[in-house]
Amino acid sequence: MLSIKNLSADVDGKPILKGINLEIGSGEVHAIMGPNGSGKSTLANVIAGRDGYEVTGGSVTYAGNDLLELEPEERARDGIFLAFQYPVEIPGVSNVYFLKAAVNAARKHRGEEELDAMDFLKLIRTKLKLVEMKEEFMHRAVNEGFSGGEKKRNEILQMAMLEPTLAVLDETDSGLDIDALKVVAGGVNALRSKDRSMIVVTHYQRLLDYIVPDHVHVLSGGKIVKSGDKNLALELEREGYGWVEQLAQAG
Amino acid sequence: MAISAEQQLLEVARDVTLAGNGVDWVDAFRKNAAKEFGERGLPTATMEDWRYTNLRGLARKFPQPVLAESVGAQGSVPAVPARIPDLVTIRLVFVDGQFSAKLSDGHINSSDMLVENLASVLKRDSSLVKGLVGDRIGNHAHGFTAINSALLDDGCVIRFGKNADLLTPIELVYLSTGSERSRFARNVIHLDQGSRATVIERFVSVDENASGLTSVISEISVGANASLSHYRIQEENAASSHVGGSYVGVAADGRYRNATASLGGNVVRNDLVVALNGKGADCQLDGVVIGQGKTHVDNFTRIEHHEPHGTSREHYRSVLDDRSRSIFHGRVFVAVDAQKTDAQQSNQSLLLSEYAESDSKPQLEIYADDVKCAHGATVGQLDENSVFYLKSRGIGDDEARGMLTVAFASEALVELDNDPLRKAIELAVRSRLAPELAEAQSIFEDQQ
Ligand SMILES: Nc1ncnc2c1ncn2[C@@H]1O[C@H](COP(=O)(O)OP(=O)(O)O)[C@@H](O)[C@H]1O
Ligand SMILES: [Mg+2]
Repeated sequence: MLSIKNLSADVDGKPILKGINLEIGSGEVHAIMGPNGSGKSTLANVIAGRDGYEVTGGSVTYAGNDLLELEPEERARDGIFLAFQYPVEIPGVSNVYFLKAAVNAARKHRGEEELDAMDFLKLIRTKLKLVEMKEEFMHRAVNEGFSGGEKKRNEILQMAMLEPTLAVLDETDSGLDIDALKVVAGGVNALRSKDRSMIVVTHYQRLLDYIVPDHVHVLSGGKIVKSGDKNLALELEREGYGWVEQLAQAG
Repeated sequence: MAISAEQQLLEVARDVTLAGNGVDWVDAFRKNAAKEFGERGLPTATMEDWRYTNLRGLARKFPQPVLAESVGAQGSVPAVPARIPDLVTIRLVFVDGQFSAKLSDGHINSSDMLVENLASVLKRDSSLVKGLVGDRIGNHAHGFTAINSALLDDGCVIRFGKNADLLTPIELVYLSTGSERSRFARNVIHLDQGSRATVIERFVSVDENASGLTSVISEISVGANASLSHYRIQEENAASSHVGGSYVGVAADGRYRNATASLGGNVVRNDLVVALNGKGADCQLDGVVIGQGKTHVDNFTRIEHHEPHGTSREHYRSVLDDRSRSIFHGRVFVAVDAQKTDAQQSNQSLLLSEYAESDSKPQLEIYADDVKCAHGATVGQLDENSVFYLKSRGIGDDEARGMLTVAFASEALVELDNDPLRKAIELAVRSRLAPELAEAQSIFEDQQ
């Protein structure tokens, strides 16, 4: 599904990713953990195709195609979704208008007919329930004045609407209280399927109690320094990141 | 020897026969205005208030004024703009400044409401507008107000008596036809205590051959506790200039709301002078400018707080592409007695081209000490974070930028309290900024 080989990338001329290797199969959930500044968001942004992240080496292949060749919108239409660590507020664009444009862009790309207003509303109502959001949020400007938790739910709502084949969730747990975390995790779990892979980026183990990963990787200093199963997350929780930083230096 | 534009206009004013001719006060009014115009001449860029707007082109060769006498020659009936969807209005249409009964819905003349074209009022009973014409301009006069007065003839009269309330908006459509013409009109709007009205002005070029100048001046008094919503939509073509003004007085607890959408034109200048003359008077002025090609839009606003507890809000936004330019003058005057004034002003511009330009000139003149006055101006480009957010959801680059640009412009209209009108303006904005996001819609009704 997704194959990252020896990937390195600069931000502002500074090397941040320094040789990442990662293989993600269909339907697998991989957690990426690591201390602040280790490059987790950089990896997520490189996958999504954000400007300003310069790939200096290696490759990213997705469903057999060179992902790095594609524009961000092409990646999205091909099924890649990034849930932002800091979702952007867009005054003047209503959530419903935005989502409809996004859904229809993907449908058009797949050669399907665009959804009309009625069908779209029907679809969105079922997805709103998934993340326990009220319909009124659809008529507000995208993320404008949303609380931290509402923004994160809105990200998951978008994911539910767009039905990606690869979702990258960047610190979707940050800033959430436990109830909100459960709702968001519930939404994500409902979207787990054998055709949908996920990369769950988090700083804390807590999220992984609710979204149980198949694999856990530890990123430090721009490299994956350790990989394992869900127990690695628990180990990290006990030992702290000092432990992996030592690993990184040793490796 | 070539005669100057001023001389040429004065000759026209002297020779023409206009509505109300022979009525003493009307004759005197026009004669004084002609004299004043002779003294002032057309504004030039050496005048502080006209620094940014160069009218040399007009002064060199002033477009031929269209007057009632010459209207007979118009012949065929021009296409009128489509109705605003979902909005019932009483429409009065002016073709090159002259009222067209044929294209209009008619008049209102009841015990407490008068809506009628000025030329008819001047002929029928000029006392209805005596003391109202020329009342509001005062010391804000310049060459254009003077020549407009010297050629006083047609326009619209709206007079509401105490507590009169017309829920149906009055829609004034000014159609420009023909090339290199100048068109003048004068509106008089007088709302007595407690009355309420909505006036929508639409400025439209009938086709791409229409050119020259439109100059419509409105004198407006809003009585105590009265309320006027005044909207102006300028959609003239790139060969047409516009120099217009609204001069407004608001009495105690009265409310004046203005939204001006400048969506086209060559050189556009809008004067908007609001005097809050009574305690607790309130005004809100919103504006959106869409600059494309070489469009130049100069919004000159002046708000005068003369009495305590007044509030004023100004929110202007410009989206400027190509070589367009927008100027916002935000004068706010607070008299020494106008304590507890609350005045806020903001002007934001989005530049889509490196050749576009935005100038913002806030100017606060405050003599009272217990007031809240705030102003802010920003000029910038689209936020790339937002662009990426939209693209990361599969929305294409052009569409993403279009959405954000339209959203930026629409933010100036969020307070507009008439939904169908707001939607119509948004659609017009959209069809200019992001035609792929709006079904291209003709603003004209099918040719009758
Ligand atoms: N847009 C940016 N501009 C400059 N530096 C950046 C930018 N994004 C990330 N960095 C730097 O890259 C490093 C990795 O950051 P990031 O990928 O955000 O880490 P994480 O998500 O693991 O906390 C940090 O040193 C950070 O300061
Ligand atoms: Mg991060």
